[in-house]
Amino acid sequence: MTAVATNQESLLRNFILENYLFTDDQSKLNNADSFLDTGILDSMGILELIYFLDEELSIKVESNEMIPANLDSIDNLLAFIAKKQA
Amino acid sequence: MSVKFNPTLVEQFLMVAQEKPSNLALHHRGTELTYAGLKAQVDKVGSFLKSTGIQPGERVALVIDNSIDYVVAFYAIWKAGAVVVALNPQAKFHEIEKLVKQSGSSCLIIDKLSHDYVDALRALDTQLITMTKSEVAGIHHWQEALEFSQESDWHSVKPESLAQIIYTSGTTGNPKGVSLSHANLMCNMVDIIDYLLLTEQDKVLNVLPFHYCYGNSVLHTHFCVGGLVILAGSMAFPQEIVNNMHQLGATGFSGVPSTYALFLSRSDWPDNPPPLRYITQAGGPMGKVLTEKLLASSHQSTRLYVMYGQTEASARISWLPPELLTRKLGSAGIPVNSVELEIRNEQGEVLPANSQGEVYVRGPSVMQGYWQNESATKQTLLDGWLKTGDLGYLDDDGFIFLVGRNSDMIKVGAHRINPSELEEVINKVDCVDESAVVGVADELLGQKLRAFIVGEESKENSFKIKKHCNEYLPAHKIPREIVWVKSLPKTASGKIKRYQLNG
Repeated sequence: MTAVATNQESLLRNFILENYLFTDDQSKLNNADSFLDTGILDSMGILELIYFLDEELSIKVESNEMIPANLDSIDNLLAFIAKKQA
Repeated sequence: MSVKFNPTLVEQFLMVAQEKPSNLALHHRGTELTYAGLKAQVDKVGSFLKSTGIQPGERVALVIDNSIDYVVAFYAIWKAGAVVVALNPQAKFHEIEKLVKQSGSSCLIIDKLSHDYVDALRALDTQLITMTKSEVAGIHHWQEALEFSQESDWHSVKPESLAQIIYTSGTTGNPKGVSLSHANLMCNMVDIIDYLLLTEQDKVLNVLPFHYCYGNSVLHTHFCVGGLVILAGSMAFPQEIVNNMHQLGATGFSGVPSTYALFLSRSDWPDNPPPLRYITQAGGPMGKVLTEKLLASSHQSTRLYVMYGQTEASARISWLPPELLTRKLGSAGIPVNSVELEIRNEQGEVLPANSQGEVYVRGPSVMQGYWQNESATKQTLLDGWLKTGDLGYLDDDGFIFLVGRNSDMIKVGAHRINPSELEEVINKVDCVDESAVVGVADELLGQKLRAFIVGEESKENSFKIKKHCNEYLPAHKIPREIVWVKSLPKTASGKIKRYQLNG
């Protein structure tokens, strides 16, 4: 986590920590961790993440944007959101 | 050109490798392997397994994600004449340990081995082969097997010998090992190849886990004809899967209803359908609306096969000829060539057309029984007939229509989940007095898990329950919703009335 986490970063991290790692211990998640490779999320989890992005951050993920480069880690998500909001 | 079939998949594999050595067998993340290349790897690993003392009939557990290594290990186990026990690589260690023990596996081939588990596995007197380098003495590294240089012969397997044990969620909470012989498997593969019209030109793109019978049948049917199996990534990224179908020139694809729901809602399939020769659907009934939508959105030359099956019948029980899909919408079709099917009432009497009852099937693809579980076998195999637990009826033309299951099994995506297994885990949490898990409708996955809990209600405790589940269960078995209640509805004998909880 960056020294001063942005609101979006905190929201995303807490969503993953609470719903998939079942903890509030921030040290359990690195921003670079691949959700799929580390087993944090499975395909169901990725779908739930997409609903979360839509509902909480008003980010609509188009079909062609559903790729690991956009969604498979906190770092990838933050870069993707920044691009969408630019 | 017609395909020649042998009595077992082992002989079939050896024949294909000899007659079509340069055909591509596998494609995974850009790596391609021909049948000759695959057989060379299988030979080395199989010889290595034999050199470690593995004897014909012994069970070897396989805990590897879909990959070239999985397939190499699978056929290598058969080279040694041993029995494949493929387990879910997403399962937590406790579950794997339980199944290694239940199957009496003398060897475990595992992708990632956590050192925390080594002692527990050693206590089971099980040999370990792992893909990750280990400094613990006595653990073999996969590379050792791949580089093994002392050749040995293939064990000559008999058709009636045990080939594979596939674990399914049992109705009492303990998974049951379905024992399938080489003849069971071969006969079912031949039936599937016959209606899918598979040839060596076929290239199936596979996302189904091989440790389930559906994925297992996709792998072996294509191998029987010398076709190509493309191992695709996770369904988490459906557009990538569709892109792969286009780029790699796939001719076939197999999925469960939620797979197709995802393609239609989360990819450009409806606008740019891949030019597949066939798509198959099994793993639970697909709604009429989704079926019609899929048919309308698919390429005009694509044949859509709706199918029905059970692990206990090797895989496939029935199929609906694609040209009858619209006329018989909602039907799971007609039995495959070698299977007989009847509908019976609770007394076991055969019912006439259009009468609802339980589906019974008979044929050479029906399992030998449940591994070391005589009582479950006796309840399921009656005079050679398999009591499927599925409810349905036959129409006047002999087409089967399924209407539900005679048990509480929940279907989440491709997974069959037994609520008792989850309840057993949840009930161990100290804030829980009792629990009941049910499946509630979910737009994409068919069903999702909801746990009703009697106990000390609090947000922290909901959290605690999920965390506990995460320790013992794979992700797809963790309840998505926790609902606290004062009590659970029960029958006079104390059995939970789940149907009153199903939302």
